[in-house]
Formats: sequence, C-alpha cells, structure tokens
Amino acid sequence: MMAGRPLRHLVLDNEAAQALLSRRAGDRRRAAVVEAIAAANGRILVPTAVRVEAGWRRRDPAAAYANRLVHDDDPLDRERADRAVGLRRQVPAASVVDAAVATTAEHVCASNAVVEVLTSDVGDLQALAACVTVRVDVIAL
Amino acid sequence: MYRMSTLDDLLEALGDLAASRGGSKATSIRQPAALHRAAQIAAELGMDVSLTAAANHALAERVRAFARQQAFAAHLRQFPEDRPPLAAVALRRIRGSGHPAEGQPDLVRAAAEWIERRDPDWILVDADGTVDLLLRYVEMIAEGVGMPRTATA
Repeated sequence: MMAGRPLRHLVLDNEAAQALLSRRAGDRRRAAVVEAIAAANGRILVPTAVRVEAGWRRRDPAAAYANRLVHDDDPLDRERADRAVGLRRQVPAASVVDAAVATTAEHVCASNAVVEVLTSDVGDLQALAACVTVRVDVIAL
Repeated sequence: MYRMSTLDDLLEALGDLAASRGGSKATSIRQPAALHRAAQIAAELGMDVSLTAAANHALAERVRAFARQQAFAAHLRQFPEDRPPLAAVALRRIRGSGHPAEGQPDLVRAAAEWIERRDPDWILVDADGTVDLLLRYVEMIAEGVGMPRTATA
C-alpha cells in the first residue's frame, strides 16, 4: 500500500481541451476539467497535437482562461513522434492525437506517480495506456 | 510608460523556466545572515547540490504555487460555478495511487465537508496543501490513531 504524498499528473485530450476553452456559463464539462486540474499536483500538460485539433491558439484572447490553468505544452518532437508511430502500430484504431496523448503521458510520469488522461475517447486511450510503461488513469469526460 | 505585470506575464515567465529558456542572471538578495549560514550548512549536509540550487528550487516552488493559486482565483471569479468540491478533488487525487484513503471514500467525504465548512475558500488559499492535509487526516483515522484499542485475548 502506498503511503505519503500521492503525485498525480494530468494530460488533456481534445475534448477536455475544447471544454476548457468554453466560455459558456455553467458548462459542466469545463467544470469537470477544472476539477481534474485541481486534483493534479504534478505536471499539467496539453500535447501540441491536441491544441491543433481543439483549435487552441495560445495568442487568442478567448484562450486566456484556458492558458492560465494549463500553460505547458508538450511538443510532438522527433523522439515523441517515433514513439507515437510505434504506439499506433500496436493500436491501429488510435488516432494521431490519441497516440500523442499517450506518449505525453508516458513522458511526464515517473514510476511513483499516476497520470490522468481526460478524454471522451476512453476505448482507444485505454488500449494505448496498456502499451505504455506508466500508470495511466483514463477518465471519461 | 510603466505597465503593471499580469498573471499572464508570470505564466509566460514560468513557461520559459520550464523550457529552460532565458539563461541565468546574477542577482543579489539581502537575506538574514543566519538564514544564509543555515542554508549553506543544509546544502553541505545534502539538502541540495548548492546554496544557489536550494534557493532557486525553493523560489521556483513558491512562485509556481502562487501562480496556480492566482490562476484558480482568476478562473473562479469568471466562472464561479466551476468551483470543485473538495471531496471530489481529494478522491480524484488518489485514484489508482494505492493511497490508504482510496478505500475510505465516505471518510474522505466526511472530512472534506468538515474542512470546507471551516475553510470554504480552500481552493483560493492553498488547494494542494488542503488536499494533502485532508488525506493525512483520513490516513490517520483509517489507521485508528487515537481510537481505543480492542483488547486481545
């Protein structure tokens, strides 16, 4: 049984990113993302591929609130792209963005931590989570 | 013309720090001599690789915590309905971690209600510290600290 301070990281998938960008009053999906952010006491990341799909441009004034709560990007660089290709070979149904999310989760998470992936695409992300070497907690948005 | 710094400026600077951009800058900070000496000794005893590393580490942690707190405050001013319940945050924090409180959701909820009554602005004051404290309480109660022990034959 684990004792001490639990460490939890968070990686946003497309739907979570879109929900966070919402400026609609009373948006329950955005509130769920804020809860996930409050629960994460480690790193909170959005893969750059997710930002592209969600239409999250850092310089847009409309993105200001989302930028404040999630300000770290995880770029799909050469090494990460190679890993994403490998994961997609293992889970062919997974999209490029899903694979990018899984590689970010794998990269951020140390052995004593849990990394939450907040998504609406639970099936593919769970299949990818089974292929990575860290503890991934896939939560449906 | 002087422009007052904003939370967004702070977050951008922290982004540079995370990406190791911007190089280093020599600075002088007036410290109590005793603190300087204590920190030097602590560094020698293994607290950190050097006094500079220890100071940078402590300052970065403090600034990051302040920025997170300010980001929550700014968001919840605009969207007050997004304020999460403490119990939900604490239960999510430990999901899948194997923490002893994971098997005590009712206790987590009861302790969270008690804390929220005493400190309704926990998320604006010290979100992570409050969750840590709650989990410690639950861990302690779950282990029977302070409870009369059952006599064994």
